[in-house]
Order: sequence, then C-alpha cells, then structure tokens
Amino acid sequence: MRIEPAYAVRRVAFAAATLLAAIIMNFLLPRLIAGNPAEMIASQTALGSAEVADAIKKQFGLENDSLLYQFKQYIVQLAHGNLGISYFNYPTPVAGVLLHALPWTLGIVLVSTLVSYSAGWLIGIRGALKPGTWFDNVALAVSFFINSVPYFWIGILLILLFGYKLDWFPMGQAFAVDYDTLSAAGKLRSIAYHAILPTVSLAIASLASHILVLRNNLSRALTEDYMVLARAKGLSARRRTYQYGVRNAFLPAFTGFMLTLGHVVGGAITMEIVFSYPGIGMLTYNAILNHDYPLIQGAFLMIAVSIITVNLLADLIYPFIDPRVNLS
Amino acid sequence: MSLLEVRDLQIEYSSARGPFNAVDGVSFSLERGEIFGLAGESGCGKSTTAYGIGRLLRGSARVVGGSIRFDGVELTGLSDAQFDTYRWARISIVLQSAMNNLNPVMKVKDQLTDAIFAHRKGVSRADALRQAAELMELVDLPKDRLERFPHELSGGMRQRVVIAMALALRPELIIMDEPTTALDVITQKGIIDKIIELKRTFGFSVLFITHDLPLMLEICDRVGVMYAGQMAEIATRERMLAGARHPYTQGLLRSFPSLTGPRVRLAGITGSTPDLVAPPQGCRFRDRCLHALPACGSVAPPVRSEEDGIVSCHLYAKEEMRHEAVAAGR
Amino acid sequence: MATTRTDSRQRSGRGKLLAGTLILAFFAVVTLAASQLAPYPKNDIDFESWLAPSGAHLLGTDSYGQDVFSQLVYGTRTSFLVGILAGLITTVIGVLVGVTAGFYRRWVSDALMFLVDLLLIIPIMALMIILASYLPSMGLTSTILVIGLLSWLYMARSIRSQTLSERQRGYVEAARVAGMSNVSVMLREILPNLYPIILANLVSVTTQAVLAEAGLSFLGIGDPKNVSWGTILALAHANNAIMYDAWWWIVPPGLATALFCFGFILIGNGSLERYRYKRGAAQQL
Repeated sequence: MRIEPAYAVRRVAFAAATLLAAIIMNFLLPRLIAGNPAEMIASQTALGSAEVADAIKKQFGLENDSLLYQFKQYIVQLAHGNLGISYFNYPTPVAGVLLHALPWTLGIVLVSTLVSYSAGWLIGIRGALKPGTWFDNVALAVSFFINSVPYFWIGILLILLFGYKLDWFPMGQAFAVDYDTLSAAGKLRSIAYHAILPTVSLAIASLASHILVLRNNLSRALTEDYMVLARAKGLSARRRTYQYGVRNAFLPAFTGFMLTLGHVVGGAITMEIVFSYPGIGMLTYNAILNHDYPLIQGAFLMIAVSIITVNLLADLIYPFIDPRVNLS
Repeated sequence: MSLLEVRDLQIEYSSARGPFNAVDGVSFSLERGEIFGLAGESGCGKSTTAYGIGRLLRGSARVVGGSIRFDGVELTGLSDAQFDTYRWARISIVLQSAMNNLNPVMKVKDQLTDAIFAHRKGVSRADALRQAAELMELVDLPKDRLERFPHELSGGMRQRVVIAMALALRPELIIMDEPTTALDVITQKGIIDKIIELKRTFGFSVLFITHDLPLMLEICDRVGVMYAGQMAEIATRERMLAGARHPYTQGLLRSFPSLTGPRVRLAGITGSTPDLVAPPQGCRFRDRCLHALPACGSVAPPVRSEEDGIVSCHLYAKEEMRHEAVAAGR
Repeated sequence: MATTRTDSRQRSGRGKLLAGTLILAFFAVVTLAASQLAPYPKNDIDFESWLAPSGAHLLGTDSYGQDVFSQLVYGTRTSFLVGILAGLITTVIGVLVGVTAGFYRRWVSDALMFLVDLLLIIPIMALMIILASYLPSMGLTSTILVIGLLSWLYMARSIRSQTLSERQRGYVEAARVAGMSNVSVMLREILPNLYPIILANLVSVTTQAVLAEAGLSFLGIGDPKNVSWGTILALAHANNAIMYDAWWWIVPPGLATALFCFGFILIGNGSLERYRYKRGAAQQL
C-alpha cells in the first residue's frame, strides 16, 4: 500500500486548519473574556519591569487597538517561537519553560497509551469472542467503573497503596533527590523508577475506553456477512477471528484511539499534579495558581500542537492499515 | 439417490415472546445438476432453511428436528469437525450481492486462496495462485484484479469474485441466496448467464433463493414455494408456467413484478403473514386465501404428490376427503 | 450446533432501569435535603484533625477538622447539579446541531461539521482550563456553562451520522411525500428513531460532565466557595492526606462519582434494552 498524494495533501491541509483554529482560539479567548489582554499578556506588575512589559506589548502589537494588527503581530511572534515571557519564571521565555517540561509529559503519555492500548486490545478481543463469560463480565464491570471515576483519583489510590503502604515506588517527582550525583545509568534508572507509577496510573485510567471500543467493534465485525462466508469456507477459527474479525475491528478503533488521546492528555494534566511530575500538566497547574497567563496560553498551544501532530501522523499511517481510506 | 434430501426440517428461533419455528416441517429434495428454487415473501423461512443446511445459522436459531441427507450421509448427526470437511469442498454458498460478502481488508487473491489452503493440505502458494487465476478466468475477470481490494471493484465484479470463490473447490452443491439482488438488470443478466454456463460445465446443483419469481422461473428446474415456515408447493417450471396449484403460488404469480423491482409485490394477496409464535390451527394461509374452505381453519392441509409437484392444500385433497371436510364445515 | 440459545436472549431492562432510577433518586434526595442529612453544618471546623471514622464521624475528619461525611453530602449537591445541567445543555446542543447538520445537506452543514472535526482534535480539558482561568470568577453557573457549552462536539458528530443514515430510510421519504414539513419530519419521524443513540450519548456526556467538574475543581479553577467531590479530593491531595493514611478522605469522593455514573449507565443500558425489547419481536427474522 502507498499513500495517494491527494490524500496526504488533504490531511496536511486539515492539520494546518486545525492548528490555525487553535491559534485563533488562543488569540481570541483572552481578548473576549478578560477585560485587558495587554494586562494579561504583559502585566507590568507581574513582570516587575515597565521596560520588559512595554517591549512585549510592542512585540505583540498590543499598543495598537486593531484586532487584525494584533493578530498579525501575534502570528509573527509565534513564527519566531515567541510565546511571551513567563511571569513566574521571569525572565525565561514561555517557549523555553514549555520545552523543558514537554519530554516528561510525552514520555508518560506515549508509554501509557501504548500499554493501555495493547492491554485494552487483548482484553476487549477476548471479551467479544466469549461474550457473557465471567472474564467478559468482570472486564466490562471494571471498565465501566474506571470510566466513572476521575483519572487523578486512580493516581491517588495507587500512590496510597504502592507508594505509601507498600513503599514499592516513590510517591512522586520524576527523579531522586540525589539525581545530579548519579552516573548516567543511575540517572536513567532513577527516571524509569519514578515514571512507573504515574505511567501505570495513566494506563489504567485510559484502559477502560480501549476495552469497550475494541469489544464493541469486534462484536459488530463478527456479525458481518464476510464472517458468515468465512465460516462457510471452513476456515480455521483462528484465521476467521484474526484475519476477518480483528483486522476489521481494529480499523475504527484506530480512529477512536486518536480521539481518546485528547482525553489522555487531559487526564495527564491532573495525573502530573498528583505525582508532582514536572511535565506540562504540573506547569499548567502552577501557571493557574500564579495567574501566569502567558504560560497558560503557551501550554494550551503546546498541547494542541502535540495532539495535532500525532493526529497527522496517525492519518498518514492509516492508509497502510486500511486500504480504503485513500479513496474516501 | 438425490444429492440433497431434506425431511421435516424444523428450525427454531427464540424471541422475546417465546420460541417459534421459523422453519416448520419443510421437506424437499435436490437432484444432481438441478437448479432448485426456494421462493416466498421475506420472513417465510427460505433463507433460514438454506443457512440451516449449510450450518450457518446465526443468533438464537438452531435446527431442532428433521433430517438433512447429503449424498446419502445424514448431516445433522455430524460433529462440527466432521461437518468442516463438507464446508466449501462439497457445499459452498453465494450470499446476497447487496451484502458485505468480501473482507474489505484482504486482496481478492487472498480471499480466493484461503479456502484452497484450508481444505487442500500441502498445496503450494504458487499452485494456489494459479488456481485463483483460473477461477478469475472462469468468471471473465482479468487476472490483474487478483491484486485489488474489494472496494476497488464494481458491485457486479465483486459478485463474480464471490461466485469464483464458491467454485474454488468444485463443490457439488452451491447455495445462492439472492445472488443478483441490488445489481442493475444488465449486470444481473450477465451473472445469471454465467451461473448457467458454469453449471453446464461443472455439473453442480444449485439451491437458488430469491424474491424474484420471473427470474426463478427462467433458470430453475423446480421451485419450492414457502409460506410461514412451511412448504406450500413444489412444482416444476413447466407446471408453474402452466399454472400453479396452491392459491398462494397463484397469488404470487398474479402479482408478477417488474424485472427490476427488488421485491415481489404481493398485489394479488391481501393481509399479512401469521404470527409464528402462536401459529393458527389448520392452514396458515387461510386468512388470506381466496378459496378457503371451512376445513382450512381446523385441519392442517394434506400433502398431495403429483407427477410434476407436491402441493399442501385442502383444495387438492382426495375427492372423498374433501367432501367430508366440506360437510364437516357445514 | 455451534449456535446457542442464550446469547441472544432478550432482556426487558426493567431491573436495570429501576436500579438506576433508585440510585439517581438517592442522589437527588441528598442534593435537595443536604442540610437535613448532613450531621454537621457546612465547613464546620470545630473538630480535631485527622480523626479516623467513628460513630460521631462516619468518615472521619480532615486536616482542617471538618467532618468528611458532611462535606461529602454537601459536595453531592454541586456534582449532581453540574452533571445533570451541563449534561442537558450538551445534549440539547449536540442533538440540535447533529440533527440539523444531518438533515439539511447544504454547504452550511458541511462547514459546520468541518469545524466540529477541527475542534474535536483540540483537547476539551485544555480548552476548559484556559476558559475557566480567564473568567473573572468561577461560580456554579459558569462551571456548568463552561462544561456544558464545550462538550457537545463528539455528540453532534455521532447524532449527525445516525441522522444521515435514518434519512436514507424509506419512512422519511414517505413522510415528505405525504407533505410533512421538514421540521415535523425531523421531530416526529427522525428524532424518535434516534432515541437509542441520543440516550447513549446523554449517559456519556453526563458522566463526562461530573468528571470534568472534578478535574476543574482539582486544578483549583472550580467554584472556590463551593464544596464538590472534586474539591474534597483537591484538598485531600493538597494537605497530604496520603501521608496521614487518611483513606476516609480520599476513597469516598471517588466512589461517589462512580456510583453516580453507574446509576446513569444503568438507566442508559436499561432503556436501550427496553427499547429493543419492545421493538425486538418484530425484527427477529
């Protein structure tokens, strides 16, 4: 299979349009809701220096009342990677603060997504193949339960159990206090050790929807006409299940996977707070507490860009999995 | 010996209001090289009968009684593993053309060869591919279509692939459930001609199911007409064309649809089919019948065999019995 | 035979409906009669800190010396109202946009759905955070509005695709030929057939609303003056309840959201079963 150029162009254009929508929202929301955007983005008191505040206002065109002019300046600054200066981390630019935090979030989100997706896959398939068994019923009940509680609550419970009571894992942070004194291998071990509990929490919290989606899709695929034909052909149960059933159940699940990614990132924000994990979520939390508006906006944009990028990647991979998408 | 002999077949569904027999005592036989049609309104049990024979029933449906003999062997007594040796190798099926017959994520060649691999142990990949190419030739499709996915083919081509697939192991019986419904008339004609031509070449039998009575009369040697889970009448094509015996069949023939119409419109018959959970006593067609006798309401219609068919109707009971029934009714 | 009879046994759904209704009625009663049911006044800090559960304090006390059980009862009010009201707002918008976009196939509907697809990719939680943090103050109303107005995208999409497929069916054409206006075709013909899909969405957006409220409260951008299950957890976390092994402060709010959502899931599944049960017999063959 290969990618049709027209399809690729369409997906890239769509990603670009999404990005533009995110940027416009980011630009407009403070101006629509808050009274004085200039004060939000370049507060003299917050930055502690009139010169810095004025310089930023000038960069972002805030001295001019025209919304269009401001938007143009805003885009120009974005193109240069300038998201303003964080109040709280003065004088570090927002972009720098965000880039510093991003790897931590990416690490736990990607690993936990991989884990929960494959586990949810296996559990969902087994449930759909043997509906009504105790395994299926327990998996369904647990899934509904997990879907009914906040992500961060699962994190807190796991810390209480595995961090505090059993003392198997650290209760928070991304690395040990003596991190700087460790060897390279030691540093890596420390990071991995600290990442286990937050990653597992996030994986468990997002597991439920994968189970439900896979189970649902496979149950539906099993009633398709080509399944009847596969049975009439006398194909082995194994081939019928995987080549005919699961292959087709996987396709819609893949698109669903992209939609859940937004949820996972949203969940990761609160999960990081629970674990004092130094990623984008923790950063956002602190920014909210400190009314660090440039940072809040920057974090939103960063999250949007990450998700749009992953989505685009998935769109471009999709034709290799489903031969039909290039055409539609 | 007939290739297929179905005797008193009973297939039960469970429903919210209790179990019911979607197929209730159906009997017919199918000779070698014959095309036998099963006709009737939707829900009359004709597809269920065919799926029951092929052990492809879905959901709550199951065979609860009767006998299905194929080439002298009782199929209902076979284990699933034993039945697997019959699947495709001796009995294959062509499902409705309107349906998703083909796996959307597999190339045509893989769907043609996987049946071969499943039944012919030790066949080489090259050999299987060569056979697949021959099959494509049989149904007049270019070989390069083997590399395509189903969505890249037209509806008519897809159905040709399905027919080629059904021929893969040279079965003795092919069940065809509405093989040309939802195709346009020209394509439909092409496929029907192809089926008849292939039948002449390979000599398989066909159990042909359709709503389209004119089409059926065109290609079938004999036709069984089902009503409410039971066989109302079986007749040769000649008999049908000359005039059917059963009032229901007569109604069906009166309401001849246009060739393009997807369904037979029962203009000649009023009313609706009976409730199968609590079927009426006597003849199930009675409430809609133009010739109903008093006996039809209480006594199940007797089965009368003639040279050119079988009919299950009080009108054709032996004279003396009929007089008795009429008298009893008065 | 390979097929069995049990797998498609029809359930009437009555038991689930009853259980779900009882659970929701329970929460409704707690919401309405919170001050009568709670043993101590709201935010009463007259007790010792970190008391384990006992007869006097069913769920112990927190670091401030508040009775956790009383807080939980008062918290029910916020969570219940946000869940129900935000869920309803979402459903109304989702159905309205979905049915309209599915029924009128003009460029407006295409543009609308393009926009929905765009916004779907942007994580709602992040959007809520940015909105909530810019609002001068977050009261109960603004929490409900922020959640209710931002959660309908996915629902609109799923309702639209179902409307599109309903539109293809014969009965819509028949109704139009019979001279019904577009609006009455939508209301009287299409909407009743969308019932199962609307219901499934209603259940999921309501649970999502409760969880979103908990998330926003946990981030400290809910209504600071109100108690909710989310703020209880936020306080527990901020005050290191784990280190004090104060499970009675941590476990109950989470279980409360689970029970509440479970009630909705029961009602959703129950009425779906009921719906199928009533139509089922006709569609068996």
